[in-house]
Amino acid sequence: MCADPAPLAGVISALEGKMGYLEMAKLAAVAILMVVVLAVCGHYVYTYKHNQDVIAQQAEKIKGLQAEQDLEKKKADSFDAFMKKKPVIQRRVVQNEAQEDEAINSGDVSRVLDAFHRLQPGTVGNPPPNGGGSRAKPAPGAAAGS
Amino acid sequence: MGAAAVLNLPLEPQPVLSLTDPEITAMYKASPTGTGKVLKFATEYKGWGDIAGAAIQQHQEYELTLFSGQEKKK
Repeated sequence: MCADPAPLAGVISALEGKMGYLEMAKLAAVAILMVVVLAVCGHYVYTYKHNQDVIAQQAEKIKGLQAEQDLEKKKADSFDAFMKKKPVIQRRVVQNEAQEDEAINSGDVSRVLDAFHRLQPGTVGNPPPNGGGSRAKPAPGAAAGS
Repeated sequence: MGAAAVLNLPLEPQPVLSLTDPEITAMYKASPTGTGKVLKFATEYKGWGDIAGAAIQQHQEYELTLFSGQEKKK
């Protein structure tokens, strides 16, 4: 970066009229070369710093995208888990409805009662825990014909 | 805060078509078709409620995975 004392002395000599045209041309060439070298170096330094900034920004963006991807994966996993449960429940409803149709069409009151008992909380399409208590105890109201 | 931040929405107990055996028997004898419709509606409603409960539960589990992920990174 510091100017060479020799060219400086040369410039001073030239100003004093003690230097030929050839030497002046050499000095000018050296000065131009130095400017070019400095410009190239400056360009590289500027580009390096700029690229560092860009890389930092890109790293942040990549981190954000990875977090987003992770979130999407969790969402998809959760959705898949729910979609596995849903058809099971839907199949159960269809099966229960088929059983209910049979019970209604059979004319057997005890089967209808069992079908209603299956709707109680905690039962998943199974017969009542007492094995069909409604069958063991016919409804008194039904006997009375009410 | 972690998992404590997951909103827990308490569901009321699932409504049940509450009928006594004599009521059901009388209803069936009066109108088997109508009883069948009530029964099927109640079954479908129970199924819908089960799906809704599963959806809520799954969403809560999803939120828990978010927080557990953050805790792991720390």
